[in-house]
Amino acid sequence: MAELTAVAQTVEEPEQIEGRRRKRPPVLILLAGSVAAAIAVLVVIGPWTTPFDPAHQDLMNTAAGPGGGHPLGTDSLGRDVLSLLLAGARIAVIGPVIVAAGAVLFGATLGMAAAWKGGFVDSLISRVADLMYALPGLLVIVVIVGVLGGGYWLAVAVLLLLSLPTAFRMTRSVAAAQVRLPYIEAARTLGLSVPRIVFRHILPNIFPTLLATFLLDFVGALIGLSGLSFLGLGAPPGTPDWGSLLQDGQSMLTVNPWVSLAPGLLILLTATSITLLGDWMYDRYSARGAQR
Amino acid sequence: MTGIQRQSAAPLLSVRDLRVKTRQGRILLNGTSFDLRAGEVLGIVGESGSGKTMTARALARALADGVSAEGEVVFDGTSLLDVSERELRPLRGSRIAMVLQDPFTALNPLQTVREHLRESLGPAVRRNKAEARSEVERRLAEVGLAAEVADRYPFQLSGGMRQRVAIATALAQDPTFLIADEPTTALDATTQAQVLELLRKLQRDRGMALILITHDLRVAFSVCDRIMVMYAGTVLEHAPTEQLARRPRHPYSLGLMLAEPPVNRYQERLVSVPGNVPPAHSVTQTCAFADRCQWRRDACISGPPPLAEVSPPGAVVEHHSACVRAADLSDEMDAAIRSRSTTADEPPVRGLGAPLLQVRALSKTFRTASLTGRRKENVALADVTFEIAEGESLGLLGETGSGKTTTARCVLGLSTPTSGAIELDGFDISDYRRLSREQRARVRRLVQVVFQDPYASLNPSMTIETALGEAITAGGAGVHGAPGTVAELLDLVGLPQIHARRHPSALSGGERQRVAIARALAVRPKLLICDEPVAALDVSVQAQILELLRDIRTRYGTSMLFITHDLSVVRQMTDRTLVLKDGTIVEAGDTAQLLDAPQHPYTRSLVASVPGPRAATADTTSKDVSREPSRKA
Repeated sequence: MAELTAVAQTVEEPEQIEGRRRKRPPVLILLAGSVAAAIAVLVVIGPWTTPFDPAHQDLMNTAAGPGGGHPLGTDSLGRDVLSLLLAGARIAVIGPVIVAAGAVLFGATLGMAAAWKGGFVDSLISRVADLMYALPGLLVIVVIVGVLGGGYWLAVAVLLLLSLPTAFRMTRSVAAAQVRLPYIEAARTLGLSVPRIVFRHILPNIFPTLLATFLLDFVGALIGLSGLSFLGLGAPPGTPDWGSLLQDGQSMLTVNPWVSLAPGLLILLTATSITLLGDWMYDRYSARGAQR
Repeated sequence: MTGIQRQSAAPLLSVRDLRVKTRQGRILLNGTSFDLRAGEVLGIVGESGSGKTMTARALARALADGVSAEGEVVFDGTSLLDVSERELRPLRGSRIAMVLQDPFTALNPLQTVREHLRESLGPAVRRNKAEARSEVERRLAEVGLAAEVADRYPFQLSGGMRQRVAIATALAQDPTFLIADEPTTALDATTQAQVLELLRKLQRDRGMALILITHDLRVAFSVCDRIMVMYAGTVLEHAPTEQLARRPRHPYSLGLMLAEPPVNRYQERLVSVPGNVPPAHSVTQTCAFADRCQWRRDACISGPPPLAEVSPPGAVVEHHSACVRAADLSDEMDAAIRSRSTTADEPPVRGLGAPLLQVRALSKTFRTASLTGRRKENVALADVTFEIAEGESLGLLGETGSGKTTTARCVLGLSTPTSGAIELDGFDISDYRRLSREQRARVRRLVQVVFQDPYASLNPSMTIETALGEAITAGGAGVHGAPGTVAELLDLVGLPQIHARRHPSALSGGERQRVAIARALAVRPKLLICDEPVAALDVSVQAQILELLRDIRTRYGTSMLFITHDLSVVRQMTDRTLVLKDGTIVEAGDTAQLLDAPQHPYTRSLVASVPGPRAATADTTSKDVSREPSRKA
């Protein structure tokens, strides 16, 4: 079998190299990419795109259906739903980005250290990670955030902490596989410094995994934070936020279903797009890594 | 064109124009035709990418997904490519069986040997418990294993024993046709000889037809009646073994035979076939070998040459060659083969300098501690002492687990010895951690390494230029006499400059190994450790790398530590040799003397295990193999 794959590799190499440049991503991925890009744009310019001031309450016109200048109607306080959604993109995305970035940054550092050092350091970090794995995540968040009185940033911090073990384990396993390869040993024999080996040799080869971990952590945190807001443990009342809006609209499902439906769809769309993108990028970069 | 045997007996297996394609229509196997009669042994020889495994898999209908076979394969009246999977099942195992290369993954780790065998016995035998029991024991005895082996798990067996079990399961229903795909490649030399002998004996006793697939011409010569030489998905030559050995009629077969470094004598100039094996689909309209052939004419590339008969008059078995110039080149090729078998060169005598590396009483024990506190100790090296002088090349010969790689790792500082002393050019390097930063930097410039696996020894995400540039910087500017630029390094190892901006994936195995050598030479080391540098390379490329290493030695006077299991590599590349077994040196001495007149019984068995022409290996395996060391839990 090893023979067979080796054959396939040598035979297919030249054309795949060309194919890599030529091949365009499938339509679904282009679509997911556009959604992600649109959300990213909203994060930057969201507050300036709203047709109404999202904080403006029109108490004479609460829970109105679509129409009358409000494409998605108004919420229980008469605020424009579309404006709330556009303005809320920032807070919906920034938290998850911080969670994912922090998890990958710290998790990858710990994972790399464990893989490189091995032995005691590895065992110590790994056991702590195991311990954290054993905690029921949602319960911990609800308890901590609930007891400490809620708050968006607290929720972000706790989510980050809870995402660490996964990021650590992913990095540790892929990095450990690299550390044993002859090219790393050759680099050691050349007397290269440890940072150089880590950043120039190991990191580029485990990049696809880090990227995938980042995107998956992002999706997890997006849903997690929205969930907390829904429970009233996330963003403070009054902030335009998808999760709170979701909860807010629950009581008005018969009057104006868009108050709940629209943020729900947005969360779903963002999460699906990013998951698809992560999947595709991982395949693409790891295939290229194997090729190279 | 393909009725290779003139007698008219109907063949057991008849293959006509067998092609294998990928789903995208890319050709992997380019029209193969041959016959196999009952009781015959056909060898399929080729390098990686030749299509030999593809042929075997197509015959067994075991191709990978996305790859399909067409053509005609008739086995005993059944057209194998046309029947459904359901109709194929009764044939598999009972009529056609297969033995695979890797005995370490071919057995289910959760099943005992008995379960493996019982599963592969016929349903009638399987139902009767007592009968099944005695049958299992009989089958084990047949492959030379004791009855108590039946209750062991695969991890408790050595590689050779596993391959014997795999053979026993393949033969459990007495098939008439066995396909063995590189059955001994993953095994140590001494084990390889025993397993080959076993296969031959079983084949003879049963009158079974056998297709033996191998990359090793010596193995094919020692076992087969006929040999088919494949290259880039095409059959280039098909001949009776004796005929091929003495009078090859295709430049590629000739090249392969000449490229094999001889075991029994030193050869001053190692012949290699320049270039690399092309992908099959790129050579469908020309002679596949034309690009690398010294005798190429326009006729060779104007169309695919047919496999034409070139038998001498009165031959019983036909000889076919796909070389359009086979007739005019016959005298030249015969002369080349003859000259090979007569010349024996004197190895060069080199003046040796002061001792460069001194290893004294080196021991290394690996300890594993489990959570439950049970400790296991594994002695990898025990009391190994040797020296390498400046300019000297020392061979470290041994089989799997002999400790040869551990020795290298200790010298390189990738592993710390348990006890003993290593001194390199005046530095005590027994423990790299005790060296100062400055000392360590200097030591790193003294010793470098070339690893076995060219595919894993280069960083896949770095271009060749970056990798070599990094090594040059690591050596520190102004190392006296070191090649200063990437271009010089590429030149030194004979690679074209365009490779500089490529990634390793765009390079062949041989080219990658050249880059690895260039990287090691960037710091101009005094000692170069070569850990099986050609073991993963194709035969036609091996000689290129060996010649390059010789060249480097002559040019720079670099000392070398050559770690290998291959006696011919030791013969060609070293002045002195140590034979390592289970972590101790059992014999040491001048390479030529050691190989010509081995003293220690183990060295003798190593020398005897080199596959030779049929008669020579006839009786190496009468010893009881159940005493072979096995891995106990």
